[in-house]
Amino acid sequence: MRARGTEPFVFYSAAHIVELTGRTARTLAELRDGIRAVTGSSIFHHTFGALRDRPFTGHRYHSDFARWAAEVLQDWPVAERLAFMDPTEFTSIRQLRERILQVIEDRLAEPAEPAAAPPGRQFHFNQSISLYFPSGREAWTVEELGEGIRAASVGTLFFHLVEARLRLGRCTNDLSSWLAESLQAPALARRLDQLDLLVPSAEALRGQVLAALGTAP
Amino acid sequence: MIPPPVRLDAYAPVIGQAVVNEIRGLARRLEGRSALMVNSTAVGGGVAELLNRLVPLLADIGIPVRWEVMRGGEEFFGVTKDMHNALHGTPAEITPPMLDLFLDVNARNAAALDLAADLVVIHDPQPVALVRARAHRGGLWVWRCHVDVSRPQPEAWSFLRQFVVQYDASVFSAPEFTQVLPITQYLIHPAIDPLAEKNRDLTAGEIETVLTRLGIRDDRPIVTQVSRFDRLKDPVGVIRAYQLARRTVDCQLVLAGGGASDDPEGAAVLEEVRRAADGDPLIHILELPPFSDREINALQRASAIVVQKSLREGFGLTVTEALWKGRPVIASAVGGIPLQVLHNLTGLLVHSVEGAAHRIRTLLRDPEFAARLGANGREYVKSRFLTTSNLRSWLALAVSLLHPGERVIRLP
Repeated sequence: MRARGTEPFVFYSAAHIVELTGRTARTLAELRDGIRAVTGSSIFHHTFGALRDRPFTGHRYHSDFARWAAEVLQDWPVAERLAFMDPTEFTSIRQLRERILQVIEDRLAEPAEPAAAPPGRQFHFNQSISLYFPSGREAWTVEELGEGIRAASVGTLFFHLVEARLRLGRCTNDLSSWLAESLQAPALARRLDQLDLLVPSAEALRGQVLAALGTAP
Repeated sequence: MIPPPVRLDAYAPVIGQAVVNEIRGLARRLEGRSALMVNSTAVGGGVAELLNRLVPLLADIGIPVRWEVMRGGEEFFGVTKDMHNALHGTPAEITPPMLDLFLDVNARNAAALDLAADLVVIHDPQPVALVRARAHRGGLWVWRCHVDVSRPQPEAWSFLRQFVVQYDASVFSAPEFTQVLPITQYLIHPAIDPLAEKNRDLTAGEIETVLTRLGIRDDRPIVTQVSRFDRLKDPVGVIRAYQLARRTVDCQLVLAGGGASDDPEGAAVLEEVRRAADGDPLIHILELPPFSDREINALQRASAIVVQKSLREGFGLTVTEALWKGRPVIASAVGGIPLQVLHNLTGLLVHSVEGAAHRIRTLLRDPEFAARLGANGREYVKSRFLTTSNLRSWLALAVSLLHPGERVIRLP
C-alpha cells in the first residue's frame, strides 16, 4: 500500500431536478406497462432515487414501486417481493428494470382480483435529471479520504458509494476503486466493497465507511 | 421589489456546511447568468413569502436577480380571483370582457416591466400572458404554477393554456396538480423557512408563555390541528376523532385557525365546530389573528400529535411545518400530503374519523413509535422541503435548461 495515491480522489457534489413524465398507472398491469416504457432515468428515480431521498427509514420498501403496491394497491405479495429487491445489488438499470418486470409479471400471472388505485393515488412516473460537479475537495491519503467522508453531504456519500455501482458497472464504489488502483490497497478496498449500503441512516453509512477506513474518531 | 437580505450561511447550522458549499458550487456553474422573478403581489400569500427568501438567497450566492411585481388594480385582481377559483374547479363565470381586461393588463405590464434576463420565471396565472412579449427579450422562460390545475373548468384552462405552451418549461408543486402539456414539466415542492418565526426553534419558556396566554394547560397530551375554519379541513371530523379517542386515552384538543369574522362561510363553520365541541373544556377553539406565527409555532411544538384531517388539500404546508418540528403527524391521504407523510415512516395516513381516532390512541400509547415518526419526519423535511432545498432545485433546473435533452449532466 502506498502512503499517497498516484492521483487524488476527487470528491463530487451532486444535485438533481425531477421531471414529470405525465405518465401514470392505476393498476399493477399499468405499472408494468409504464416500467417497460419509461426511460432509464425514471427507473433510476423510483429505485436509487428513492433510497437517496429517504435516508432515514431502514428503507422499508427500497423503491417507489414497492411502496405504491403496498400502500395504495395493498397488493401485499407483490409489494413484499418488490420490497425485498435491493437496488444496490444491481449494477445496471437494464438488469434492475428486467427484474422488477419479472416480479410484476409473476404476480399478474397468479389468480388474484386486480386492484386499482383510488382517485388521486395513481402512480406518477417521474425522472431524475442528475448533475455532478467536483466539490473542490481532494484526498491523496487514507486520512484525507476519511476527512472528506466526514465532511461530505449525504448527496456526495450516495454518489460515491451507491450510484457508483451503475457508473462502474460492478459491485464496488468510487472509494474502493481509488484505494485499489491509486493507493494499491486491495484489502482496504475489499473491506469497503463489503459495506451494507442499506443501513438505517446516512450517518450510519458514514460511520461504517470511517470504521472500515480505520479513521473513525 | 427589493426584499431584505438573507445570508445562505445562516442556514448552515440547520442543513450543514457541506450542503451550503454544494449550493454555492452549483451557483458558480451559473456564473454570469441572470434571473428574474415576476408575480402579482409583494406581500401576503405563499408566493410572496417564498420570493422574499428565494430572491435574497439567489443574490447572496452571486446570481444577479430581480423581482418584479405586476400592477393590476382591483378589477383585474377580481378577474384573477375568479380565474383562480375556476382553475380549482369551483364554479365561476369568466366573461369575454373579463378576459379582455386580463390581456390588457398583461400587455401594459409587458410594456412597463423590464423583462430581460437569462432565466425569466413567471409565477402563477395572473402574469402568465407576459410571455407574449418574450420574443423581444430572449432568455429562457419558465411558468411556475403554484395552483392545483388538475381539475379546472375547461374554458378557464383552455384560455390559460394558450400562454403556458409558449414557455420553455413549467414547474408544478406536485405531480398530482398538473395537466398534459407539450412543454417539459418539472417538480419543485413548496418549502418552509426553518429560520422564520413560524418555524424557528423556540425555548421551553417561549412555548409556555404562548400556552399560558392562550389559556392551555400543558397537563395532558395536546392534539392540534392548525387550519382555517373551512369544511374542507374537516374540523368537525377532528372533534369526532378526538371524542372517540378520549374514550380510552387522556388528551386535549386544539383547533387553531384564522379569525372568521369577515368570512360568512368561516363563521358558519366556526359555529358548527362550537356546537360539535359541546362545551368540552378540553377542546380549545382558537381564532388567531393574522401574523400569529409564534403562536402557531408554539402550539405545534407543544403538541403530542398534529392532525391534518383535510378532505381536500393543496400541498399542505401546515403538515410540513409540523413534521419539521419533529411532531408525529396524522393526516388524510389527500393532495400533497402523501408526498410528505409516508405511512408508518414519517407519519400516519388516515381515511376516516375512526382511522384518525385509532391513530391518536396508537401514538399516545406508544410514545417511542411517535418519537420515531417525528424524527423521521424532520429528517425528510430537512432533505426536501426547506427553503434551501427549493433554492437548490431552482439552480439545478437552471443548469438543466442550459443542457436540453441531457439527463446526466457532468459539470466542470
